[in-house]
Amino acid sequence: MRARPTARLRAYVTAGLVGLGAALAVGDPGPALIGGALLGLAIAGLAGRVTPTMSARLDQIPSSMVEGGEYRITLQLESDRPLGSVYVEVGLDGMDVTSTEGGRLVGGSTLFIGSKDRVAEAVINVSPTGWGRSEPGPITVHSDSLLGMFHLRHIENHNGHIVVLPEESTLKRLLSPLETNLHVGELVSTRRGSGSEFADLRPYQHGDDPRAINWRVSSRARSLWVNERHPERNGDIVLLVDAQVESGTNTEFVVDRSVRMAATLLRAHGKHHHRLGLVTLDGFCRWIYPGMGESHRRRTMEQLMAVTPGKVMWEAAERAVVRAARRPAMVIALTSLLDPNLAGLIHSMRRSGMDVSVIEMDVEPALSPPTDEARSLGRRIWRMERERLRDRLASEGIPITIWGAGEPADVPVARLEQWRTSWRRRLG
Amino acid sequence: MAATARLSAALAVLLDVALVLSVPTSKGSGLGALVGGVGALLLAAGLFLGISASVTAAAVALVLQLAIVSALPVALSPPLWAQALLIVLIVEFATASFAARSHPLDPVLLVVRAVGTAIVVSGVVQVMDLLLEGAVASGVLVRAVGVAALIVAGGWVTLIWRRSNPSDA
Repeated sequence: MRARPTARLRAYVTAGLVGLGAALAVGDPGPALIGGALLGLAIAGLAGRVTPTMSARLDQIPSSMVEGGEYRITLQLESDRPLGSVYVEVGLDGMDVTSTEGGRLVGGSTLFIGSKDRVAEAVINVSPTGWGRSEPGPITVHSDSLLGMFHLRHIENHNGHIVVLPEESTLKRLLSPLETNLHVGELVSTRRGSGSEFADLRPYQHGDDPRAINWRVSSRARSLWVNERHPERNGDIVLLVDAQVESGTNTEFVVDRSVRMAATLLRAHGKHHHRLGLVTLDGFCRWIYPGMGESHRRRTMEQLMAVTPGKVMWEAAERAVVRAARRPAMVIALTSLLDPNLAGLIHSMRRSGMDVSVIEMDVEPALSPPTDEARSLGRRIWRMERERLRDRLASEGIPITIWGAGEPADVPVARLEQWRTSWRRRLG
Repeated sequence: MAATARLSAALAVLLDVALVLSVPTSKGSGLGALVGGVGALLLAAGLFLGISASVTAAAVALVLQLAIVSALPVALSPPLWAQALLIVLIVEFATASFAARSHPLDPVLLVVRAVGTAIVVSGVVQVMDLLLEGAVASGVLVRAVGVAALIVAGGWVTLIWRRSNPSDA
């Protein structure tokens, strides 16, 4: 621990010496008595000064948390001398400390621990208040030497990071990809093969599995017929998260909503064994190829949690999208459509035969109401341009829906799926 | 600034002002009050601006105030032990105010510590004052305390000697 003299020590020593000097000068013992007592206090404090060696660490930090959840983190303190009274500041930004065990919370994330032992353990129950990827701040232990003449401080840095996922929303329906891939999953493929879903009947051919013979139809037709089935496959889903907004403005909340929706979709589609990919468009355009498994899921979530509002370099964005989103992947774009470049990107994906859907984040609540007639007119023109953009996308067969500010997450998803179903029916 | 820091700073300034105002101002002892007042002002400014040296300035000003008043033919008010109590309380609360700016403090512990230290110091001052008066009056008390101190010191030296030479024990 690092020891630093406090204002107390300087005050007692100086006042004590001044008191003794003044007593000599005025020839009265009064100032000497007070000066002597103050000096005695300072000398006792100096004599009792010890600088213990200390270590502090946080144990059992979950690598992944969910916003609003309750988690236990253990704080371990070790010293070569009895700990006494210590204040421990735990750098847990973005988390509320709800309760503690083995220490008293004295403010923010600072605990007061009083122990006569050399080892102390405290349990901190925390609740993350916002999503994101963060590194826990340092643990700072504050203590005082005897009579508080020295302030002892020990700082211990923590390695590792914490990923806080957005609160989970329930989705009653999910978007089904139009095309499936070759991996076994839960989607009924349009192709024929081995599966459980009946597709059609056809005459028996040499090499067909005898178990596929439909005996009832064969007896009527007086020739062998076999059942054809649809195989169950999974789909590739690529989420395109657009985080291009002007930083420092109210529109930043759009990115928050995009990330929340993306996390909800990733979790929901992950449960259905789809292969999931991600393209995040912010200052850095990063992508993750569609994949499965726990490590892939963690990597995807970590990338998503690292999204920050920023200006997109569209050339890099196009490259990222082309690499990550290939047929037969279904692309779900989560965007505010504030930049027409993204609409252009969606157009080009659609033209190349990709299955693209768009969930547009409603930005209207973030905008301040127009103050005069000219601004009001400008706002109306802006709205019309956006409507035109939507109509253009829709006319090319790109399902698009607006996620209103107060709507639950499953509403836009249900609307999109309804659109896609009716579109498929129309196409036959 | 945290609430604890604000409260302890306010308490320190309040006690300082109270101590300055309680000093007699007759027969030129107003000079002492003036010195104390300057110290109180410095303390208030220092606590507001975050200058920890103001604690030292205030403590020195209060000791000087006491020296000026005791040099003059006026009755000492408040008594010596109360002045010691207040000076320690002022220093403790002002220091705690600075400490509370760097990290949260337990207010109860802060008050207990300040009051405890102040009581001990004022007690010591009062006992020394009594001893001094006794020495002036008869010298019996001083002799008694001197003998007691000699016995305690002798016992302590013997104990240390025996601990350091276990083979002789």
